[in-house]
Amino acid sequence: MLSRIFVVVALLVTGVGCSSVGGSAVRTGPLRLPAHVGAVAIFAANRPAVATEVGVVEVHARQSEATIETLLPLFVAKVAALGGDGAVVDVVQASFDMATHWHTETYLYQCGWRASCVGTRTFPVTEEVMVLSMRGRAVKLGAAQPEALR
Amino acid sequence: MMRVVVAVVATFSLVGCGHVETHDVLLRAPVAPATKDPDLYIEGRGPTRSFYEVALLQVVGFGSRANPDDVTGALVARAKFLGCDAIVRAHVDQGYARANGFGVCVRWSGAEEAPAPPASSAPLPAPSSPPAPPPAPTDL
Repeated sequence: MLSRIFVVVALLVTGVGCSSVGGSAVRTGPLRLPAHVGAVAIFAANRPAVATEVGVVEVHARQSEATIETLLPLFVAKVAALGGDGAVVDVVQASFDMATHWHTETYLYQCGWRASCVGTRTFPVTEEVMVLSMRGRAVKLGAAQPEALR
Repeated sequence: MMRVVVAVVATFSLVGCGHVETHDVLLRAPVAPATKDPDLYIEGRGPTRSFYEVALLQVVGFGSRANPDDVTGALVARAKFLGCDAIVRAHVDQGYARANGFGVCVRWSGAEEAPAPPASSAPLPAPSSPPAPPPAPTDL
């Protein structure tokens, strides 16, 4: 029974995998707002005419997850969590690094008359890793309401 | 016969191992593909006329296509397909065997009207001084 539970837990742990998507949102300034519910306007090239900054936001992902389709929804969610209804994208930047990880593979080989053996080998693999980072600001569009200031 | 084999091998080796991946996030409904290539504005050198944003574009070049030429070419092709007038804030980050390009696909304010947005969409605030109001964005 215990071994069965162990196998299930091991399968779950290996099956879940690790996502590289992450980010942070830091509240800035005196404006304190509850989380925004509703549409968030996105400013990638233009800038809002009148807006108050409520925080700075950064999201990132690596390799196959390093796409704007993955990052922008997370960026917007973090802006809304800060109470912003405008997401200003300041920087979208990719960085590259060479990373080495150990790769294990199993192989078959002939080992005698009509016999096959299974071997396992582990070797280092160096590959280029791309990390895409999106940085910007959460803003409250329009003039700040005095009661929202603390 | 030998010559044909050599030609085929040479062709395959010239093609190389490379490809580009194009990603986009639409902020507004696209219009019909543009008839001419969009203008390309590198980050820091924006256009003087006003515009509204249509989509965020990203192109990742791999292998032999991990270079600014192929990446910006793919950006322009995608922006043309989306009916954009220009790509602003374009830049390419170059790695060893990868290159990442980013740009914002825009249309000039006052250009031919884009189709009406879906009923469920919420309006974006207008640009600072638009000659004509941009179409409302699609919901993200």
